[in-house]
Amino acid sequence: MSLETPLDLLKLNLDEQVYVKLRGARSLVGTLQAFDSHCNIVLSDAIETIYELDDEGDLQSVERNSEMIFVRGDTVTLITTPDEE
Amino acid sequence: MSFFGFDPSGPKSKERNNDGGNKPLDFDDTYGGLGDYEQEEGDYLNAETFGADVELGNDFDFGHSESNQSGASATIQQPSHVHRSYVAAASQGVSSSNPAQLDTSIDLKPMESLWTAGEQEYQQEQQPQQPQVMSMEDIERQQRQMQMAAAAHQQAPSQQGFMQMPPPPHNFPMQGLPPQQPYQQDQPNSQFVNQYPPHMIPPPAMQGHPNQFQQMPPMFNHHQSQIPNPNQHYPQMYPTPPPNFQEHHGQQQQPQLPLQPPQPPQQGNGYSASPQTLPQPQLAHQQVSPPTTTQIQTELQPPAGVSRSILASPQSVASPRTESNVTSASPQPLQQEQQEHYQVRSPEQQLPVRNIQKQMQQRREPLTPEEQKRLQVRHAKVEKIMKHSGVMTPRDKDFITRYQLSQIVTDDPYNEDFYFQVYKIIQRGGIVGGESNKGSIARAYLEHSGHRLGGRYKRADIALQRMQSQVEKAVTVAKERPQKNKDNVEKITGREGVLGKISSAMNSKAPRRQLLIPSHKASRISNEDELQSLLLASSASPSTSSLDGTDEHNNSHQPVDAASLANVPALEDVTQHLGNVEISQNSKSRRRSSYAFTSVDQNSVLSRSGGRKFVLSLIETVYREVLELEANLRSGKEINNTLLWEALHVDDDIYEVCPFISMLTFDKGVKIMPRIFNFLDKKQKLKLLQTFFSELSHLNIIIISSYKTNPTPTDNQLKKIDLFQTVFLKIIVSFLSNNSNFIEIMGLLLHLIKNNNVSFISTSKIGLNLITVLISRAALIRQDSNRSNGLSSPEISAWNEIYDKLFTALESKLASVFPPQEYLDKVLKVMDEQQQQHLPHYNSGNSPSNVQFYDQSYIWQFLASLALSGKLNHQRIIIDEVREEIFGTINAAEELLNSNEIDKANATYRREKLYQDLNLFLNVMGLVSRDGEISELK
Amino acid sequence: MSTKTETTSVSTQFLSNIIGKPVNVKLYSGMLYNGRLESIDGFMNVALSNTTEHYENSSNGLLKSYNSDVFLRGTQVMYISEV
Repeated sequence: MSLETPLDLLKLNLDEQVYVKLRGARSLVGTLQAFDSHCNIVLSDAIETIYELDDEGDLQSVERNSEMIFVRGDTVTLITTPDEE
Repeated sequence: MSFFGFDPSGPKSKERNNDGGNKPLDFDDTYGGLGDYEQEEGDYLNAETFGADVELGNDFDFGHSESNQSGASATIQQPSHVHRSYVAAASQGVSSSNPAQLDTSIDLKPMESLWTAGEQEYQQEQQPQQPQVMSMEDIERQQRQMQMAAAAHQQAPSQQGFMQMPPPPHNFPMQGLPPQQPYQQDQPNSQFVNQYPPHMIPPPAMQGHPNQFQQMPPMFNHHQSQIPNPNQHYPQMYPTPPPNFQEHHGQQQQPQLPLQPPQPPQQGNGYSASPQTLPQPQLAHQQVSPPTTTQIQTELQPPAGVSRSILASPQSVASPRTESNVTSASPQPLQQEQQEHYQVRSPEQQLPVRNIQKQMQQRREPLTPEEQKRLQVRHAKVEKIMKHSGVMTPRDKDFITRYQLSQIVTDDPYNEDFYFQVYKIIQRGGIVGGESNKGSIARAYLEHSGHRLGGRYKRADIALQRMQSQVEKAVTVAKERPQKNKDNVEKITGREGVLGKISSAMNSKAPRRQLLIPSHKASRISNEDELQSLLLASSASPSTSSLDGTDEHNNSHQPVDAASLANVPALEDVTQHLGNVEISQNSKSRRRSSYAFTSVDQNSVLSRSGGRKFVLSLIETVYREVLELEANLRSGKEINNTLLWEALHVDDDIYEVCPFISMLTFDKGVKIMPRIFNFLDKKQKLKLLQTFFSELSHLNIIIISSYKTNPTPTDNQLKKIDLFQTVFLKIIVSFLSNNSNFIEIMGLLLHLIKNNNVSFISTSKIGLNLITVLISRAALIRQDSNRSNGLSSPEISAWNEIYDKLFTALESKLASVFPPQEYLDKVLKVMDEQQQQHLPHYNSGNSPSNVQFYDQSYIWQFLASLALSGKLNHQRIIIDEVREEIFGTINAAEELLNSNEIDKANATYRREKLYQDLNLFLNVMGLVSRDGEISELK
Repeated sequence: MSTKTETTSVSTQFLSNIIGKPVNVKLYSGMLYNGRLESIDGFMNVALSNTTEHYENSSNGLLKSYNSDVFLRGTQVMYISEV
């Protein structure tokens, strides 16, 4: 198993939980079903968290669940394994 | 007009066929000499169908004579270019060539009488239409009605019929036409022409699509309906045609295309009512092209724009010649293909056509007495068939068929057998038969069979079922014993009533002990020979634990390996290990550390087998190898699993924890296991399982599923446990029951006992199930062997020793196999939440039937297996230790009876379930609990 | 590392040389990631281990630290520098 490129490392996380950071203060946690070289990814049982600053300047977050979600690669900035609960 | 958005401003549709796209279309170009193929092979019924000497006509009327169509889609008359029709070709071909192939002994003469005489009878049968077309009969009835209606030129009923049907994917509704208009022939015709002029025939490839043929059957019906006299023979002849066909008939009573491939011109020939409606050339085109049109209509219907674009595509208009050439270049294969499809799908479709012919003949000839006789016979037959027709819906039939098939293909016929299951449920004593208990039995069955309706947590757990049935089988056998003993041995007193009494009584007589005495018979001779050689072998290599020379890693516990080495060395190894108190350094640390895994964090284990990344990359490699092997298997290449075996790292002892064990930490590692097992030989499987059982304490799933190390399981973890049970436990169960012998099972058990902290493992659901699988399988083999005297005395004594070890490890901790109430509550809460998530509409308050309960049957199965293999003193100890749980279960069951739960049925069911589970264990001791009391099993 | 032999430009040489070394990776978003460079490819996709996350400057305080490997998408990378 070659582990030469970063995408190879990403492959190890297939069918595992991943944490995906997106542009626009969003993040996703879900099971990595598929990805390609553009970082288009498909997650199952995903929880999307959207961070916002409310009027008082406090950080608020909204969560959204999706059974299956396709994320277009150009919004992805970072992928890693989620912290253990 | 603009249906499908076809450009109405284009050339007038009338001109299109002649001048289509400025290129005059010559019929011969598209016709492609279809009629020249005189020979129609395999169509030997043609003569019967159409007659050999039928006069050809070109006076087709495909619509109602009075039908007038207003609106945009006006009638389009196709000019006639060629008057030699395919009809002529076909019928000539038949008359000239086919008779030779016919067996004259077969009476192919049509029975004209049959085709009309049944009519009245069925007319009488007709009833008001019912909108819910469910059964065959309903469909048939509707069918007949519509035919009738059409025949009588009564539009109203047929319209009604159509309105009831779901609108099929055709274009006529888009035209805004009233539903009754489909009967008008010129409308579909014009549709067809407008939308898809014959010269725009798409490539043949598209025409091969099976879907399109499903669209066609209605056509025949449609044609039928145009015949002056209604045709009802068809349902008569075939009371239960394939549902597919029927449904199409029933639901798609719409003209799509005027003529259909198999015998379209013949049809025209048959009807001949109003001349010159449809000229021949068009026929020829349509023979080839209808499917395409239909297909496009069907597939692209929802987004009308798509078909619009296709139809209006300038490209297709611009190059009609090319495309039509393509089609006409190979009309015959196409034709054949279409016919094949037809024949496969519904041979009955030819009937209506035949009917027409017969009908015509009938009009000419009166009934002969002989025919009348045959008619009567036929009537009687049909009546017989019709009597029960429609009793079952197609779904019922489908269910029965699948049920029967499932029994054929199942691995475990007992488990799949409804009657056996019900018998067993009643037998077990939990449920007393009777009218009032039918519901409980049904529920118990559903529960047992893992049926969705049974309400078991998520899907059926096949592996557990198999294990359960294994235990039950063993218990059933054991149950028979006390009775026998009662007959043979003097009566045992004081067995009824209190538990303690029973055990002491049993103890004094020790009736079961005799079962362990092996009787020496013929089958043992070979074993003794092997024993001899074994003794020699063991003396050659006295102290090494690993007798199998193939294994290079002296892991000190390789008792069972090569099947080629026969069972005996393995047995010797097993027995040797028994005396050998020494435990390998590895397993020592494992035993010590098993409790140390208080964290369910996978990383703690992973770090000891090369790290997470390493293990994940191993899994990727394994997947790659498996995929390659599977590809090889498909292409018939040689299968070499060496690389796969290496990738598994089963005998890799570099790391503290075997990487293979760590692979099972990941779901994907578990999921691939069945596919891996497909490619391993028995020796490898055994080795793999030995490693597995040796390192059980390191198995993440054990840690997760133990209430000691993981008192608060999450939903994800419960899912993981579920997955492991369905996938890996199943592998083990099937391996044990199909491939392994007694000694190998003993070896695996020994691996488990020696290298793990058994009492810890028994606190986990998975661990307990694994032990149960092993000992229940061993018990089954011993029971079988008792009958056939297959086990040698060393084998039995080895087993007894292993069992003693197991028992010693569990003794005084047996009660701890029951998870504490807090754990159960926690699990239930998670399960409940999970269910809420998936079924948000369910509110636990409103639907008490969905109240979850923790299924403890696996624990009773374990105890039953343990008791089954043990001697009387073992059983006494077991009962002593779990006495509170026994009474606790009984109390819980009785409380359910008194509880004021809203859902009484659910409470009753749970009560029965509790008794069933408990009785599985009690039955081993010849006891049964019922209605709050424990009594002797009768 | 899969640097093609013919493309021995300074940049690719640099990238292949810093494999396994601690690096800072700055994204266009302004996030700065500090960690050991596990691997890098021609798209500038980057894998880091023992990663810490900061905003703009590593002295700006730790926002987050990642236990497992972090994959950073190449199109988002502004620069990579050896620490």
